[in-house]
Amino acid sequence: MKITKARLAFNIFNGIFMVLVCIVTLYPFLFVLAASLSSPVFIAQGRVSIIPLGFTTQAYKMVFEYPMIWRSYFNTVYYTVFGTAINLVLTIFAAYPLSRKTFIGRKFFNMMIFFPIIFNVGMIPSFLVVNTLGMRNTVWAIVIPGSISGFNAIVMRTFFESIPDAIEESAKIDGATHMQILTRIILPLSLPSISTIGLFYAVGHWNSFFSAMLYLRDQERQPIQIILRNIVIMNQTDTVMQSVDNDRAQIAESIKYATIMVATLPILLVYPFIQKYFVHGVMIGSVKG
Amino acid sequence: MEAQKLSAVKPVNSKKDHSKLSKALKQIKSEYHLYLMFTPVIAYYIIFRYIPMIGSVIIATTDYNIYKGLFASPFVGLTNFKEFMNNVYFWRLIRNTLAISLLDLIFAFPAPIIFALLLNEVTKKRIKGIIQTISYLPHFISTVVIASMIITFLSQTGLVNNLIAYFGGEKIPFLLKEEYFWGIMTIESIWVGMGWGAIIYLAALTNVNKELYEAAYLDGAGRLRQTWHITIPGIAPTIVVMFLLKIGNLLNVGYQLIILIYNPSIYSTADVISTYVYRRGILEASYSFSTAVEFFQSIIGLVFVTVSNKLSKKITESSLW
Amino acid sequence: MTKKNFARILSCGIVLILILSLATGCGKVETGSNTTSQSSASGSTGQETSGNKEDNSGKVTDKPIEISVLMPGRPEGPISNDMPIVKEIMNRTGITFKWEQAPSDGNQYSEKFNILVAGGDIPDIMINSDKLVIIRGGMNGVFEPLNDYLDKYMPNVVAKFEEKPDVKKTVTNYDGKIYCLTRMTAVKPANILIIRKDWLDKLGLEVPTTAEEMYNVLKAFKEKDPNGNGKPDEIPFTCRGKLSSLSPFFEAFGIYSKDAFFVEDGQVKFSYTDPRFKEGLEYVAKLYKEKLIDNEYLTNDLNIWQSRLTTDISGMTYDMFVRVDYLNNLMPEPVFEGMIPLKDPEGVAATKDQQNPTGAFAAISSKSKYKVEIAKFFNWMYSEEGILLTNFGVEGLTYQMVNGQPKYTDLVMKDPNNSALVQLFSLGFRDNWPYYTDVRYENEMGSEYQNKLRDTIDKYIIPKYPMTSFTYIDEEQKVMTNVYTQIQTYYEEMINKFIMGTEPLDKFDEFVEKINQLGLPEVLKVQQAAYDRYSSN
Repeated sequence: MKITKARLAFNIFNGIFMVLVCIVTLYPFLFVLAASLSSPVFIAQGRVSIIPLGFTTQAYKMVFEYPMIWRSYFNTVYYTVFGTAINLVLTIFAAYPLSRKTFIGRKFFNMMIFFPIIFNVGMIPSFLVVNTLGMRNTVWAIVIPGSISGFNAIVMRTFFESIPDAIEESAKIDGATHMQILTRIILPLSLPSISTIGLFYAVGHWNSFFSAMLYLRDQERQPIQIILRNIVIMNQTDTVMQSVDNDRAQIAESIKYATIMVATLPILLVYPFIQKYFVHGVMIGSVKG
Repeated sequence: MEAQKLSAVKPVNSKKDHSKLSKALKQIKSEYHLYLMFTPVIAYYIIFRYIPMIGSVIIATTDYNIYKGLFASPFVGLTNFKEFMNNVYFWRLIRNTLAISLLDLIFAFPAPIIFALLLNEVTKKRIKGIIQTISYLPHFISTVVIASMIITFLSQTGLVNNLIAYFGGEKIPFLLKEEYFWGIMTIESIWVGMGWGAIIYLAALTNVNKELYEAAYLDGAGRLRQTWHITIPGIAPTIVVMFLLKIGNLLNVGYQLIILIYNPSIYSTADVISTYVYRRGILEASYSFSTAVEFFQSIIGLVFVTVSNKLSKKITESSLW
Repeated sequence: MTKKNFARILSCGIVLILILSLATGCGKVETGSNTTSQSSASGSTGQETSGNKEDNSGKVTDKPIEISVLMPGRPEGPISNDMPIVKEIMNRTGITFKWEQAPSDGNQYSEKFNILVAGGDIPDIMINSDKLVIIRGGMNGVFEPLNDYLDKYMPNVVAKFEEKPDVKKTVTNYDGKIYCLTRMTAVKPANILIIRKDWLDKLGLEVPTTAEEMYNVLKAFKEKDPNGNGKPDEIPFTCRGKLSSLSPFFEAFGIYSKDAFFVEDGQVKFSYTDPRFKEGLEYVAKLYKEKLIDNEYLTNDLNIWQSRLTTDISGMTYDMFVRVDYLNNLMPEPVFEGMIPLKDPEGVAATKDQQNPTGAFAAISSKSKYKVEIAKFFNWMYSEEGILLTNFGVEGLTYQMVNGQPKYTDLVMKDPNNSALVQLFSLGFRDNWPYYTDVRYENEMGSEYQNKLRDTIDKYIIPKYPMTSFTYIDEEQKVMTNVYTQIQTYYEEMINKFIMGTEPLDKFDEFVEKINQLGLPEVLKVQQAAYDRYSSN
């Protein structure tokens, strides 16, 4: 394909645009990274930008000496992997039937799934249900109440719907059951969307602290975001409680930033790994005729 | 085929309902996997979404007292709603919430789409991947840090004002002027949301039939025409669904970011429903009021979405239900 | 990877994970961590920790008991029974604690508190900084009234109540019942004016004592280049607490602007519609217009504030007195000093800014099996050795007796990474217990200069409006949350606009009119009733 002048101009424009986007979106990350490696005095003076000043890894040392940090990491990974697996299975079980035109009650069930996206569950009623079911202080309280996100289910359903009907029909003619159609045809063709939804769920789990805070009593079960939140909001001026001790108990600023890095870095690196699933899914060859 | 069809015709005088029901049951039986796998989904929604919803209704219509509990708190009907609607700032709060939401819809909603399309034009896969990974980084930075950055950038000694001064302009106290707040919120939304939001569209792009591009090229269509006639229709269902989902949350502008960057002098544009409820909650933590307000927000959102859904069915072929 | 294999791996993975979860996650319904039960085994036999003589005076029980507690969390880390100070408390009293995991953020903590109540099984001890929540719990029978327990089991506490009647007033509800105890704070000073003494010396100026002198000093800071870099980049006064940081300027005109109400001749009045407040507004607006106070006072956060003060941009601020040491530690040498309050229109130097006499409020569940033991436990905290332990920790580890006075050890004071208080917190010290803060603790935590400063300021403190100590009847509470939030939104917006000049001060009368329209008279009635109730307690 010959590259036209217009195409060249576009490529240059696109290139510049992408560079600008990268600069703007990379900045916050670089700042946090730099601050986590800087001496607190320079941070306090507001001089740290994207390069560490007064380079020190002290903050990281202290974060890793935090009681239970490795345990929290493990908990978070466990909740994320286990939770995402359940999420995906249930969401697929929701999205697939809804994407089939022959599914009876389709319209009604679509509404059933959509409605709670807008009418959110209240925290106290939610808690009462979880409590009554005896799930409190177990991993189930973390993993079940949010196991199907209406948003994700609808998006996945949309992806399933975009797979041509002809494929399903030819499978049906061959006598396949829905379970077989789902596992042998639809899923393999939907790798991009499953990876995407899986990523969304995984990130959701990784970043979640609210369920853990509500439902988990023991320190040993806490995920890493509990630690992160406690430290990061530390310097918010609390004017309600005029407590001198709030101003007295100062953690070095750099620890705040190191905590953010430690709690966030692992999940950031997941996407590059699933990028390879973002390939063209629909095999055109099977659709002809 | 024809002969089979003829013999399958039922006698005229059989009850319509009966045949419809038995037809349905037959259908279910032949496709029972479908219904089997959907059963846990129904159970989930009933137990974890709809039953708690009843609890929320109770909280919103009573003077909920955590000590008395759900069933012993005094019933007050619509009093909580009335308190909200009679508030002297009611219309202002709605206006601000809507303004921020609509600007978000107009500017921040298309941004990930356009970004995904442009990113799709980057040919080298590795670079594309790197750009994409960098672009979603802000999504992972705590709101607290983002807020702190916004304050620092927009201060008199911050980056933006330094640039303005460099080009000979007069410095602007952005966060102290009412007219800038909506713009600041919109820009923040794009900054933090564009990269992450593009992921869905990039996934949708992979579903577009590659051969269509080749055919169009042979017909002499340039890239722009290809985009218009192939790509965009290809991801249209995704765009429509995302749009409808967003409309449902039109009044749900959260307080987490605003609380950190607003101040009383710009309440007239910065005070939204959720921030007002938050301040009221400091004086007295009341679930009744906040739940009633949430219901109000949800009902309005539902109205918007229902209308949009109907329109969407007519104009495009996609809809939420 | 082919599609078939992917599907296979996915389903295997799911099965594997399900199995794993059953193995590890199931069956852990019961609460209580393993470490807790281990330390209860060692704690209940009364063994010593670090060289203390066996002391049974704190024992509240003969057999080991477990008491569950909900207490606000700390960012430094969750509390645990392994911490030395906690261990010591358990040793002395015979109690084993079961800690309910709790966040440190105020809002999240409230949520946790509320769902525990909603869930029905309430810890034995519940702590909350919002007194009204506790009072409501007491009046609904969830928390135990403590009046009888005070008489029977808590003589030490009663004695301290005599010493600090304000505290007793605060915890007594309008129905005469006492539903909670609280920490008794030791010192009053909170915020003070802090100034760069070296800038004053450089410009040959005296510390300002009146509004006019203050104006002149700020003007000099702005125009005479005290940071010596030849650029007019000084922002004389900066702050990070929005409007409340400007209160010292208003106080010079007779109104403490942090309090929306004040009392004169037994009558409750509203601060912001008072003519004296208008005079203060004119003054502050002038300071703002001439850029003598930070024009970004409404948007500054901690980062910007400390940046301006530590890079020679600003020379004055109004902040917690402990920030004097804090700021000085960020400078090459100590240059910040505290100022005594400005003189009011009658020529008297005074301020109402002070800490609350109380800390967080602790209540006992009415369903607790150990109400008497907990009462004894609280009482022990007010005994001499209880005071030592709750303030100073474990003798030999966290403090030593030097010439009969407790002094913190190097472990606490000389940690290279943490401030002393952070160290103490990580060793198990908690300021959320309803204990008695010893002034010696306060002294240990500050430099000699800061302590002297604090004692000096103490003399200038006059009583403020005791709003945080009020209790409201339900209807009154409704007026406050409904009507007052609207009034508050309005005056916050308008006052700042007056200061910034966005709204001209000749509109002040309209402002007063609008506030009355919004329902001020009703609110004043409620406040008056609450105040009368409080003073007659």
